[in-house]
Amino acid sequence: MAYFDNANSSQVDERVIEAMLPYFRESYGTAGLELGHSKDVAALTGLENARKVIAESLNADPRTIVFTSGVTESNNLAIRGTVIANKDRGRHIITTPIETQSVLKSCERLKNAGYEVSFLDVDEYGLIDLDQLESLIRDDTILISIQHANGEIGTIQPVEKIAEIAQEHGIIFHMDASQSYMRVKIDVEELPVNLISFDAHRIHGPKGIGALYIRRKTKIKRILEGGDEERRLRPGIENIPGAVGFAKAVEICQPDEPEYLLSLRKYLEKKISERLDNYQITGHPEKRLPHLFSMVVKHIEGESILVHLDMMGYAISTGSACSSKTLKGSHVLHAIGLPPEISHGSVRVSFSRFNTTEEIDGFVEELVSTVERLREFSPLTRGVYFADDGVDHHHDDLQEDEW
Amino acid sequence: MSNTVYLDYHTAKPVDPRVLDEMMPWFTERFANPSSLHRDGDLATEALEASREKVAQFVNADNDEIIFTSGATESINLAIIGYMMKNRKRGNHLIISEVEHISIHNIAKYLERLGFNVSKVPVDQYGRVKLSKLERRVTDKTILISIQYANNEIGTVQNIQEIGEFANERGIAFHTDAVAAEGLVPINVERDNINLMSISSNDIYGPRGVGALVMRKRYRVNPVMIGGGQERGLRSGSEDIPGIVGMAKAAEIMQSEMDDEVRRFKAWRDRLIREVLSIIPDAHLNGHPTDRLASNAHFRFEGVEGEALLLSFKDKGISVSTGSACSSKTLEPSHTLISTGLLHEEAHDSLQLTIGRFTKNEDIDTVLKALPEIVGKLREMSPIYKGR
Repeated sequence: MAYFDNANSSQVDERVIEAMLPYFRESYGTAGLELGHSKDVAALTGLENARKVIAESLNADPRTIVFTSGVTESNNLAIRGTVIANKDRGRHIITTPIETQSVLKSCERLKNAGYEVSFLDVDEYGLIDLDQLESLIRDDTILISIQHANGEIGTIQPVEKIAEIAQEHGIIFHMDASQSYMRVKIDVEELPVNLISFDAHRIHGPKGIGALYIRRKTKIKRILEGGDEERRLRPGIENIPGAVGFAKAVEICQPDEPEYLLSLRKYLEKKISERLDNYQITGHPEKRLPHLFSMVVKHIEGESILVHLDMMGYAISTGSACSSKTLKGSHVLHAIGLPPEISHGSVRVSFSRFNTTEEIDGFVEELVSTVERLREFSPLTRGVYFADDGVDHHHDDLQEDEW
Repeated sequence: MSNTVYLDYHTAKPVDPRVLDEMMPWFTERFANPSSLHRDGDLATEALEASREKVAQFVNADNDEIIFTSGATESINLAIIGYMMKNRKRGNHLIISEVEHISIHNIAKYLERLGFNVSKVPVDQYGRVKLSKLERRVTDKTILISIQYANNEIGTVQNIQEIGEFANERGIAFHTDAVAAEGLVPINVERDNINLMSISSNDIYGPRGVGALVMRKRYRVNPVMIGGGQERGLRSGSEDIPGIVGMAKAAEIMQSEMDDEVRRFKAWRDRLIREVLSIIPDAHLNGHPTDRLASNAHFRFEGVEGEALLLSFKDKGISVSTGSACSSKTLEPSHTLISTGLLHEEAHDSLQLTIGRFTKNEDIDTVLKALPEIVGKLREMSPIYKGR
């Protein structure tokens, strides 16, 4: 039994709950003025301490952190908020086809409103081409929105170079770090990024709370109207228990955690390479998130693998979490050039601090026997392996060129 | 501070311990996203839909008329901006009241910048909207009327059923901000002719960061938050399952306990009003004497600054409010009080006491004991008060 779907959502750490409880039960005021009553003061202190902790995790000033309801809102605010605030400077946006839906849909909405959106190509690993980025930049380009790392295939983009290019041209650079936050180091003193979206629930914090880092002097307008909360950028009574839980999740993240997660992934990769055939790792072999393993298993549907493993107590995912109930092929796997019949066999395993190598041992056993069983029944398999000669070609290296 | 008295329930509420208990397993045991195909994902989906049903029952709506959001502010944005944008081919005119929450006034300003027209209907001395005044503002371009169910400051309850009927008879959609009223007035969107309604979780002792828009069939809005297409495409973003489960539990508890609670509150409220007005000279009640929330007692003491009152109470370990939670940050006088006809300096002299689920009889005693002394002291220092 194990939960390997941490890139989708993760278990809230008990210490996070402990930190949140007083803010649910006792310090439940609003973050009003310091001259407010005691509950308001306690709430304000909790909120501002949380902001400080989160700012420190990026080596940023607390005033650059705006709390939101999650990454979807952070992405909406970052993209629509900056484009609308800078519309007098231009109407061109550059992004990639492998962004998360909230980025893609925000760009699509702007496109419908008359803005122009250019999509960078990505290679077989999902990496963008910096030369192409340079060539797409125009005088009226106002925003580049590129994810730090991909949530399906784990590939990490060359964000240092992207930020440099954006800075040279005076273009705002937004980075969706929902998958990489606290897994890959981000230091805003070194990385000249303008906006970073991230949230709590993938790092053992609560759902319903996220943040947007906004570098000072970045022009941005709010997308929700209301009161003056969050320096007028995000109205609504602050979710203080959420913010406090978020900060606690950051605080308890040990510096060597990514290393541990990487060791789990390496262990899984090795086990799988010894036991499984006819599969391919998706995403970049090295430039990838430490905790995220992804592959396509040939001749089988990822959904079938998922359902069988689920019955054995292993929670994994196929395709993107957001689109996996639609059964549409993954837009990421499509963009890296995988045909639908192959991308349907996608499997993603994502680790957390609560996972162990013992869990991986059990998982690999179940995975291998599941794949074997499914291949026996698969019509796709029959056509290939049990050809007319009646010989079992199970271990033939077929159609290598397809990869 | 120990033995603290909290009479600021309109501003913020603690989460009911029973709600917290219900939320706990969704943090640490069943934490998957509903979109996931594995069993943990299915459990989350079941919890999401069961929660939707509970919230729907709470307001007498159908399950598929509930859209979960990150809170009342987002619900209101989705309702008003979303409806105006979606239906802008049919008209460009919105009517709100002068005593709406600040976020609705700011939405109105935003819509005006986008080219929409907004009319504000005035209120009487108690903060009530009159149909005749509303009638005068309706044009053939009016597509939405947004009037609060009850006022978050002075507690006046509007005749929502009548306003809803007025709007619907004219083919105009009706939105109500029910944040102040929920849990204190039995809300029934069917009976009240409500087409769109914004509610929050914290106002019924659920967690922060969750709310809902009740969107009746045939009333459509454009989404504000876009992305993964959750909540039938109307509110994208991973669902905050612990929060949503908490809101549903809060609604369930409220539904079964509201009658008793309101009866209890009313007795305390009436005692507060009766004793304050009789003990303290030059004290006035803001809002309607009877058509007001059971939890709300809102006073004005001539010659006493609200801020000074608040600080004096704070020294005694009593939490109160000077008016609206949102406007107390700006130190501007409350727009609600100004709308009921008070002068700026009069509006500053206000004190809001709001009762809640964990209020005890002794809390009322403590406040009634402290108040005459505090008011007396502040009036002694006041250069303007020339009391009798």
